[in-house]
Amino acid sequence: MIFGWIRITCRQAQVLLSERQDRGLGPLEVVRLRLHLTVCDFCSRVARHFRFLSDAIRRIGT
Amino acid sequence: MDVDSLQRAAAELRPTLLRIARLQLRNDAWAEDAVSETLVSALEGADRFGARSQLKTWLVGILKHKIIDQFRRCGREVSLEAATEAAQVETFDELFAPDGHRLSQPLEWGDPEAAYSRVQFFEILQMCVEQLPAALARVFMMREWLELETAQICKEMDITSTNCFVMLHRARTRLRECLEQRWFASESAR
Repeated sequence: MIFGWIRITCRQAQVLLSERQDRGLGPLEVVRLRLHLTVCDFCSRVARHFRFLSDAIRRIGT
Repeated sequence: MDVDSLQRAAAELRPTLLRIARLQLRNDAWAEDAVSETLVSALEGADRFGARSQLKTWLVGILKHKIIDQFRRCGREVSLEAATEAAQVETFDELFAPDGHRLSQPLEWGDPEAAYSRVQFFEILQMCVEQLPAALARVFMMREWLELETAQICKEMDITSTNCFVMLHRARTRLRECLEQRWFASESAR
């Protein structure tokens, strides 16, 4: 079953959410993460929170 | 701007610069050094500086370079702490069940950018960074505040890229939890 190796857990998804801010994800990682985010509201929230966090930190001292 | 008025204005900004330097360096003596060097450089370059309104931005720009210099001088000590931190067994497994699912649900933050207009928000944000273990805070601030590439951070800290990614993930996860508990949870309840 194709979903077997595309499906990832929330824990794995959140590692990828962090790492995509620090390195380029591979094509398979991109597909896995995208698929996970389309079905998981919680990880989608964490994705927005991580982006916001980067933006907020850059404002320190401005 | 003449040297006298620059000196006065810079002195007023000293506590702000010191707090930022401490946040990144996590060592009071190093932070003092970085800020002092920043102010010396600023006074030397006073003739190249015109608008007082941009003073803080200009000083913070110089401070970023002085912080990187400071890391280079203290390289051994910093990399030792980073290696120790990277080797620690992960503790935020408590956020996840053994099957990889989250045990608690992250809250909806609404319009988080609205927090930028609140001074208290930045107080909480800095407090959350201060609560991170020193090595995590340094790596995280190098990446997100100094905006260094991961490869450069690995080199400065003398850690592997895998350790660097793991530390950045730990830092982000803890900061997310901290901001949620200390700001967004109570904000939405207000």
